[in-house]
Amino acid sequence: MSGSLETMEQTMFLDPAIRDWVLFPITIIMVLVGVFRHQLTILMTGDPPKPELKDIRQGKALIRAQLLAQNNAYVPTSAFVERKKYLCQAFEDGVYLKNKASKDEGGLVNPMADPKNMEVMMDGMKKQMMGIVPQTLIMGWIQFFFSGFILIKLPFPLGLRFKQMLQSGIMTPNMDVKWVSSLSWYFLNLFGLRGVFALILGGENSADGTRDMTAMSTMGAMGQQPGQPQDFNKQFLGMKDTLAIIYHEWDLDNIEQRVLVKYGKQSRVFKSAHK
Amino acid sequence: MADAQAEMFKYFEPTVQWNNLQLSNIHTLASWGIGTAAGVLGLTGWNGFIFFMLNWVFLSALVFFVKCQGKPAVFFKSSAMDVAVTPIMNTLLSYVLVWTLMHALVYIYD
Repeated sequence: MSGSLETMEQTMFLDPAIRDWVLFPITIIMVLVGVFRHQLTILMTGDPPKPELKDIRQGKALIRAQLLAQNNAYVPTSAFVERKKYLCQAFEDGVYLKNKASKDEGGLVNPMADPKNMEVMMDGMKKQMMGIVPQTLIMGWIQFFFSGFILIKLPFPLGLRFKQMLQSGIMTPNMDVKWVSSLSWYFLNLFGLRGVFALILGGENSADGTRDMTAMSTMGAMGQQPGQPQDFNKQFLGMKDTLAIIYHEWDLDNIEQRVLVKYGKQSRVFKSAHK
Repeated sequence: MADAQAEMFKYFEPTVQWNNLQLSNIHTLASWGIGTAAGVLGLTGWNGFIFFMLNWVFLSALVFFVKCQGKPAVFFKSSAMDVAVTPIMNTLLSYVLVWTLMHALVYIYD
Protein backbone atom coordinates (compact mmCIF):
# COMPACT_ATOMS: atom_id res chain seq x y z
CA MET A 1 0.00 0.00 0.00
CA SER A 2 1.54 3.27 -1.05
CA GLY A 3 2.51 6.09 1.24
CA SER A 4 0.80 8.52 3.52
CA LEU A 5 0.83 11.57 1.25
CA GLU A 6 -2.70 12.64 0.55
CA THR A 7 -1.97 13.37 -3.07
CA MET A 8 -0.71 9.92 -3.88
CA GLU A 9 -3.31 7.46 -5.05
CA GLN A 10 -3.68 4.56 -2.66
CA THR A 11 -3.96 1.38 -4.64
CA MET A 12 -4.73 -1.97 -3.24
CA PHE A 13 -5.75 -5.24 -4.69
CA LEU A 14 -8.29 -7.28 -2.88
CA ASP A 15 -8.77 -10.98 -2.64
CA PRO A 16 -11.32 -12.18 -5.19
CA ALA A 17 -12.77 -14.39 -2.51
CA ILE A 18 -14.11 -11.24 -0.89
CA ARG A 19 -15.86 -10.41 -4.10
CA ASP A 20 -17.44 -13.81 -4.42
CA TRP A 21 -18.48 -14.24 -0.84
CA VAL A 22 -19.39 -10.73 0.26
CA LEU A 23 -20.01 -8.38 -2.61
CA PHE A 24 -22.40 -10.46 -4.63
CA PRO A 25 -24.16 -12.13 -1.71
CA ILE A 26 -25.05 -8.81 -0.11
CA THR A 27 -26.58 -7.52 -3.31
CA ILE A 28 -28.40 -10.72 -4.09
CA ILE A 29 -29.78 -10.99 -0.57
CA MET A 30 -31.02 -7.41 -0.65
CA VAL A 31 -32.80 -7.96 -3.93
CA LEU A 32 -34.38 -11.17 -2.72
CA VAL A 33 -35.47 -9.69 0.59
CA GLY A 34 -36.99 -6.78 -1.24
CA VAL A 35 -39.02 -9.03 -3.49
CA PHE A 36 -40.01 -11.14 -0.51
CA ARG A 37 -41.17 -8.06 1.38
CA HIS A 38 -43.18 -6.89 -1.57
CA GLN A 39 -45.03 -10.18 -1.90
CA LEU A 40 -45.58 -10.42 1.83
CA THR A 41 -47.02 -6.92 1.95
CA ILE A 42 -49.44 -7.81 -0.80
CA LEU A 43 -50.58 -10.85 1.15
CA MET A 44 -50.92 -8.99 4.41
CA THR A 45 -52.73 -5.90 3.28
CA GLY A 46 -56.42 -6.31 3.64
CA ASP A 47 -58.92 -4.60 1.39
CA PRO A 48 -59.45 -0.94 2.07
CA PRO A 49 -62.56 -0.38 4.18
CA LYS A 50 -65.63 0.28 2.11
CA PRO A 51 -67.11 3.66 2.90
CA GLU A 52 -70.60 3.72 4.26
CA LEU A 53 -73.43 5.32 2.40
CA LYS A 54 -74.14 7.80 5.18
CA ASP A 55 -70.52 8.88 5.34
CA ILE A 56 -70.45 9.57 1.64
CA ARG A 57 -73.73 11.41 1.77
CA GLN A 58 -72.45 13.68 4.50
CA GLY A 59 -69.35 14.61 2.57
CA LYS A 60 -71.15 15.08 -0.70
CA ALA A 61 -73.79 17.31 0.83
CA LEU A 62 -71.08 19.60 2.09
CA ILE A 63 -69.43 19.63 -1.32
CA ARG A 64 -72.73 20.45 -2.96
CA ALA A 65 -73.13 23.48 -0.73
CA GLN A 66 -69.58 24.56 -1.49
CA LEU A 67 -70.20 24.28 -5.20
CA LEU A 68 -73.30 26.36 -4.89
CA ALA A 69 -71.41 29.04 -3.02
CA GLN A 70 -68.59 29.06 -5.56
CA ASN A 71 -70.69 29.02 -8.69
CA ASN A 72 -73.59 31.16 -7.61
CA ALA A 73 -73.03 33.49 -10.54
CA TYR A 74 -73.96 30.86 -13.08
CA VAL A 75 -77.55 30.37 -12.02
CA PRO A 76 -80.40 32.87 -12.08
CA THR A 77 -81.45 34.40 -8.83
CA SER A 78 -84.60 32.38 -8.43
CA ALA A 79 -82.75 29.08 -8.81
CA PHE A 80 -80.13 30.17 -6.35
CA VAL A 81 -82.67 31.23 -3.77
CA GLU A 82 -84.49 27.91 -4.05
CA ARG A 83 -81.35 25.90 -3.56
CA LYS A 84 -80.14 28.08 -0.75
CA LYS A 85 -83.42 27.75 1.07
CA TYR A 86 -83.46 23.97 0.75
CA LEU A 87 -79.85 23.47 1.80
CA CYS A 88 -79.99 25.82 4.76
CA GLN A 89 -83.12 24.13 6.01
CA ALA A 90 -81.56 20.69 5.57
CA PHE A 91 -78.41 21.70 7.40
CA GLU A 92 -80.33 23.08 10.29
CA ASP A 93 -82.46 20.02 10.61
CA GLY A 94 -79.44 17.77 10.29
CA VAL A 95 -80.97 15.82 7.42
CA TYR A 96 -77.59 14.76 6.05
CA LEU A 97 -75.87 13.95 9.32
CA LYS A 98 -74.66 10.44 9.91
CA ASN A 99 -75.69 10.24 13.57
CA LYS A 100 -78.68 12.44 13.94
CA ALA A 101 -78.97 11.55 17.59
CA SER A 102 -75.63 13.04 18.49
CA LYS A 103 -76.30 16.25 16.62
CA ASP A 104 -77.01 18.18 19.76
CA GLU A 105 -74.11 16.79 21.75
CA GLY A 106 -71.48 17.92 19.30
CA GLY A 107 -71.27 14.71 17.31
CA LEU A 108 -67.68 13.75 18.05
CA VAL A 109 -67.15 10.05 17.65
CA ASN A 110 -64.27 8.41 19.44
CA PRO A 111 -61.84 7.36 16.69
CA MET A 112 -60.63 4.35 18.62
CA ALA A 113 -64.11 2.94 18.87
CA ASP A 114 -64.79 3.23 15.19
CA PRO A 115 -64.04 -0.24 13.85
CA LYS A 116 -63.19 0.88 10.35
CA ASN A 117 -60.54 3.27 11.62
CA MET A 118 -58.97 0.52 13.64
CA GLU A 119 -58.44 -1.61 10.58
CA VAL A 120 -56.87 1.24 8.66
CA MET A 121 -54.49 2.02 11.49
CA MET A 122 -53.54 -1.63 11.91
CA ASP A 123 -52.80 -1.86 8.21
CA GLY A 124 -50.60 1.19 8.39
CA MET A 125 -48.69 -0.19 11.33
CA LYS A 126 -48.23 -3.54 9.66
CA LYS A 127 -46.74 -1.81 6.66
CA GLN A 128 -44.33 0.11 8.89
CA MET A 129 -43.21 -3.13 10.52
CA MET A 130 -42.67 -4.73 7.13
CA GLY A 131 -40.42 -1.87 6.28
CA ILE A 132 -38.34 -1.57 9.39
CA VAL A 133 -37.75 -5.16 10.40
CA PRO A 134 -35.96 -6.49 7.31
CA GLN A 135 -33.74 -3.44 7.13
CA THR A 136 -32.67 -3.81 10.73
CA LEU A 137 -32.13 -7.51 10.31
CA ILE A 138 -29.94 -7.11 7.27
CA MET A 139 -27.91 -4.36 8.88
CA GLY A 140 -27.34 -6.51 11.93
CA TRP A 141 -26.40 -9.48 9.80
CA ILE A 142 -23.87 -7.45 7.87
CA GLN A 143 -22.37 -5.97 11.00
CA PHE A 144 -22.03 -9.40 12.51
CA PHE A 145 -20.56 -11.31 9.63
CA PHE A 146 -18.89 -8.79 7.40
CA SER A 147 -17.15 -6.35 9.67
CA GLY A 148 -13.49 -5.65 10.08
CA PHE A 149 -12.34 -5.67 6.47
CA ILE A 150 -12.32 -3.47 3.44
CA LEU A 151 -14.74 -4.46 0.78
CA ILE A 152 -14.60 -2.00 -2.03
CA LYS A 153 -13.21 1.28 -3.24
CA LEU A 154 -15.51 4.09 -4.12
CA PRO A 155 -14.57 5.76 -7.41
CA PHE A 156 -15.40 9.17 -6.04
CA PRO A 157 -14.04 11.03 -3.04
CA LEU A 158 -15.97 11.85 0.10
CA GLY A 159 -15.34 14.12 3.03
CA LEU A 160 -13.40 12.95 6.06
CA ARG A 161 -16.49 12.95 8.21
CA PHE A 162 -17.76 9.89 6.41
CA LYS A 163 -14.64 7.93 7.26
CA GLN A 164 -15.98 6.94 10.62
CA MET A 165 -19.25 5.73 9.24
CA LEU A 166 -17.96 3.95 6.18
CA GLN A 167 -14.84 2.35 7.59
CA SER A 168 -16.48 1.37 10.82
CA GLY A 169 -14.45 -1.65 11.81
CA ILE A 170 -11.01 -0.66 10.62
CA MET A 171 -8.57 1.35 12.70
CA THR A 172 -6.33 2.95 10.11
CA PRO A 173 -6.10 6.72 10.33
CA ASN A 174 -4.35 7.14 7.00
CA MET A 175 -6.39 5.10 4.65
CA ASP A 176 -8.32 7.01 2.07
CA VAL A 177 -12.01 7.44 2.67
CA LYS A 178 -12.52 5.80 -0.69
CA TRP A 179 -11.81 2.40 0.80
CA VAL A 180 -14.93 1.36 2.59
CA SER A 181 -16.32 -1.51 4.58
CA SER A 182 -19.30 -3.69 3.86
CA LEU A 183 -21.79 -1.49 5.64
CA SER A 184 -21.31 1.26 3.11
CA TRP A 185 -21.89 -1.26 0.35
CA TYR A 186 -25.18 -1.97 2.08
CA PHE A 187 -26.10 1.70 1.94
CA LEU A 188 -25.10 1.97 -1.68
CA ASN A 189 -27.31 -0.96 -2.48
CA LEU A 190 -30.15 0.45 -0.44
CA PHE A 191 -30.29 3.56 -2.54
CA GLY A 192 -29.30 2.10 -5.84
CA LEU A 193 -31.59 -0.90 -6.00
CA ARG A 194 -34.76 1.17 -6.12
CA GLY A 195 -34.51 1.30 -9.86
CA VAL A 196 -34.07 -2.46 -10.06
CA PHE A 197 -37.13 -3.00 -7.92
CA ALA A 198 -39.14 -0.74 -10.18
CA LEU A 199 -38.01 -2.82 -13.11
CA ILE A 200 -38.95 -6.20 -11.69
CA LEU A 201 -41.88 -5.35 -9.46
CA GLY A 202 -43.63 -2.59 -11.34
CA GLY A 203 -44.25 0.91 -10.14
CA GLU A 204 -46.03 0.52 -6.83
CA ASN A 205 -43.68 -1.79 -5.00
CA SER A 206 -43.20 -2.11 -1.29
CA ALA A 207 -39.59 -3.19 -1.56
CA ASP A 208 -38.18 0.27 -1.24
CA GLY A 209 -36.24 0.69 1.95
CA THR A 210 -35.74 4.41 1.77
CA ARG A 211 -39.43 5.16 1.64
CA ASP A 212 -39.80 3.48 5.02
CA MET A 213 -37.07 5.68 6.43
CA THR A 214 -38.87 8.83 5.41
CA ALA A 215 -42.15 7.39 6.62
CA MET A 216 -40.59 6.72 10.00
CA SER A 217 -39.37 10.27 10.39
CA THR A 218 -42.69 11.78 9.41
CA MET A 219 -44.61 9.44 11.67
CA GLY A 220 -42.84 10.82 14.70
CA ALA A 221 -43.45 14.40 13.66
CA MET A 222 -47.10 13.98 12.84
CA GLY A 223 -48.09 12.32 16.05
CA GLN A 224 -51.24 10.24 16.27
CA GLN A 225 -53.76 12.22 14.26
CA PRO A 226 -55.14 9.83 11.70
CA GLY A 227 -58.06 11.65 10.07
CA GLN A 228 -59.65 13.66 12.85
CA PRO A 229 -63.33 12.96 13.18
CA GLN A 230 -64.76 15.97 11.50
CA ASP A 231 -67.64 17.57 13.20
CA PHE A 232 -70.01 17.73 10.32
CA ASN A 233 -72.70 19.47 12.21
CA LYS A 234 -70.47 22.47 12.81
CA GLN A 235 -69.36 22.45 9.20
CA PHE A 236 -72.93 22.35 7.99
CA LEU A 237 -73.85 25.31 10.14
CA GLY A 238 -70.80 27.19 8.95
CA MET A 239 -71.72 26.48 5.34
CA LYS A 240 -75.23 27.65 6.03
CA ASP A 241 -73.90 31.01 7.18
CA THR A 242 -71.68 31.25 4.14
CA LEU A 243 -74.61 30.68 1.85
CA ALA A 244 -76.74 33.18 3.71
CA ILE A 245 -74.35 36.05 3.26
CA ILE A 246 -73.65 35.62 -0.44
CA TYR A 247 -74.67 38.58 -2.54
CA HIS A 248 -76.02 36.92 -5.61
CA GLU A 249 -75.49 38.39 -9.06
CA TRP A 250 -76.41 36.48 -12.11
CA ASP A 251 -73.73 36.53 -14.80
CA LEU A 252 -76.27 36.57 -17.53
CA ASP A 253 -78.23 39.42 -16.11
CA ASN A 254 -78.64 42.16 -18.66
CA ILE A 255 -76.80 40.00 -21.14
CA GLU A 256 -78.94 41.14 -24.00
CA GLN A 257 -78.10 44.76 -23.36
CA ARG A 258 -74.43 44.01 -22.94
CA VAL A 259 -74.31 42.27 -26.30
CA LEU A 260 -76.01 45.17 -27.98
CA VAL A 261 -73.59 47.62 -26.45
CA LYS A 262 -70.67 45.46 -27.48
CA TYR A 263 -71.72 45.51 -31.10
CA GLY A 264 -72.52 49.17 -31.03
CA LYS A 265 -76.27 48.94 -31.45
CA GLN A 266 -76.97 50.56 -28.13
CA SER A 267 -75.17 53.35 -26.40
CA ARG A 268 -75.04 52.02 -22.89
CA VAL A 269 -76.52 49.49 -20.52
CA PHE A 270 -79.72 50.62 -18.93
CA LYS A 271 -80.49 49.45 -15.43
CA SER A 272 -82.91 46.63 -15.84
CA ALA A 273 -86.42 46.90 -14.55
CA HIS A 274 -86.62 43.36 -13.08
CA LYS A 275 -84.09 42.45 -10.47
CA MET B 1 -63.27 27.18 -11.87
CA ALA B 2 -64.02 25.46 -15.13
CA ASP B 3 -60.34 25.70 -16.00
CA ALA B 4 -59.25 23.93 -12.84
CA GLN B 5 -61.69 21.15 -13.51
CA ALA B 6 -60.58 20.88 -17.10
CA GLU B 7 -57.02 20.60 -15.86
CA MET B 8 -58.01 17.81 -13.56
CA PHE B 9 -59.66 15.79 -16.30
CA LYS B 10 -57.13 16.49 -19.01
CA TYR B 11 -54.98 13.54 -18.03
CA PHE B 12 -56.09 9.95 -17.75
CA GLU B 13 -54.33 8.89 -14.59
CA PRO B 14 -53.50 5.24 -15.33
CA THR B 15 -51.78 6.03 -18.60
CA VAL B 16 -49.82 8.85 -17.00
CA GLN B 17 -48.61 6.41 -14.39
CA TRP B 18 -47.74 3.92 -17.08
CA ASN B 19 -45.74 6.55 -18.91
CA ASN B 20 -43.86 7.40 -15.75
CA LEU B 21 -43.10 3.76 -15.14
CA GLN B 22 -41.77 3.35 -18.66
CA LEU B 23 -39.61 6.41 -18.24
CA SER B 24 -38.28 5.07 -14.96
CA ASN B 25 -37.43 1.78 -16.63
CA ILE B 26 -35.61 3.57 -19.41
CA HIS B 27 -33.62 5.51 -16.86
CA THR B 28 -32.77 2.47 -14.79
CA LEU B 29 -31.56 0.42 -17.74
CA ALA B 30 -29.62 3.35 -19.11
CA SER B 31 -27.99 3.99 -15.75
CA TRP B 32 -26.89 0.38 -15.55
CA GLY B 33 -25.40 0.56 -19.03
CA ILE B 34 -23.68 3.88 -18.43
CA GLY B 35 -22.53 2.83 -14.99
CA THR B 36 -20.90 -0.27 -16.44
CA ALA B 37 -19.20 1.85 -19.07
CA ALA B 38 -17.90 4.29 -16.47
CA GLY B 39 -16.64 1.51 -14.24
CA VAL B 40 -14.89 -0.35 -16.99
CA LEU B 41 -13.35 2.80 -18.37
CA GLY B 42 -11.88 3.49 -14.98
CA LEU B 43 -13.40 6.89 -14.52
CA THR B 44 -12.98 8.30 -11.06
CA GLY B 45 -14.09 11.34 -9.17
CA TRP B 46 -15.46 14.22 -11.15
CA ASN B 47 -14.91 12.47 -14.45
CA GLY B 48 -17.50 9.94 -13.48
CA PHE B 49 -20.09 12.56 -12.68
CA ILE B 50 -19.38 14.56 -15.80
CA PHE B 51 -19.79 11.39 -17.80
CA PHE B 52 -23.13 10.84 -16.12
CA MET B 53 -24.33 14.37 -16.82
CA LEU B 54 -23.34 14.20 -20.47
CA ASN B 55 -25.15 10.96 -20.94
CA TRP B 56 -28.13 12.25 -19.01
CA VAL B 57 -28.46 15.21 -21.30
CA PHE B 58 -28.12 12.96 -24.32
CA LEU B 59 -30.70 10.52 -22.98
CA SER B 60 -33.17 13.25 -22.06
CA ALA B 61 -32.81 14.77 -25.49
CA LEU B 62 -33.48 11.39 -27.06
CA VAL B 63 -36.56 10.84 -24.93
CA PHE B 64 -37.75 14.35 -25.61
CA PHE B 65 -37.38 14.34 -29.35
CA VAL B 66 -37.85 10.76 -30.37
CA LYS B 67 -40.24 9.29 -27.81
CA CYS B 68 -42.29 12.33 -26.96
CA GLN B 69 -42.02 13.78 -30.46
CA GLY B 70 -41.09 17.11 -29.01
CA LYS B 71 -44.28 17.46 -26.96
CA PRO B 72 -43.77 15.98 -23.49
CA ALA B 73 -46.87 17.71 -22.15
CA VAL B 74 -48.95 15.19 -24.07
CA PHE B 75 -47.43 12.29 -22.17
CA PHE B 76 -46.53 13.65 -18.75
CA LYS B 77 -48.26 15.93 -16.32
CA SER B 78 -45.43 18.30 -15.59
CA SER B 79 -43.98 18.10 -19.11
CA ALA B 80 -40.27 18.73 -19.53
CA MET B 81 -39.44 18.85 -15.85
CA ASP B 82 -40.81 15.39 -15.32
CA VAL B 83 -38.77 13.99 -18.16
CA ALA B 84 -35.42 15.52 -17.39
CA VAL B 85 -35.13 16.91 -13.90
CA THR B 86 -37.18 14.93 -11.42
CA PRO B 87 -35.77 11.46 -12.02
CA ILE B 88 -32.19 12.63 -11.95
CA MET B 89 -31.60 11.87 -8.26
CA ASN B 90 -32.86 8.32 -8.42
CA THR B 91 -30.95 7.58 -11.58
CA LEU B 92 -27.82 9.09 -10.13
CA LEU B 93 -27.95 6.76 -7.15
CA SER B 94 -28.43 3.76 -9.40
CA TYR B 95 -25.56 4.93 -11.56
CA VAL B 96 -23.23 5.31 -8.58
CA LEU B 97 -24.03 1.79 -7.42
CA VAL B 98 -23.25 0.22 -10.77
CA TRP B 99 -20.23 2.44 -11.33
CA THR B 100 -18.74 1.43 -7.99
CA LEU B 101 -19.50 -2.22 -8.63
CA MET B 102 -17.96 -2.36 -12.09
CA HIS B 103 -14.96 -0.26 -11.15
CA ALA B 104 -14.25 -2.58 -8.27
CA LEU B 105 -14.72 -5.71 -10.33
CA VAL B 106 -12.33 -4.57 -13.02
CA TYR B 107 -9.67 -2.62 -11.15
CA ILE B 108 -9.65 -3.64 -7.54
CA TYR B 109 -10.04 -7.36 -7.62
CA ASP B 110 -7.29 -9.51 -8.90
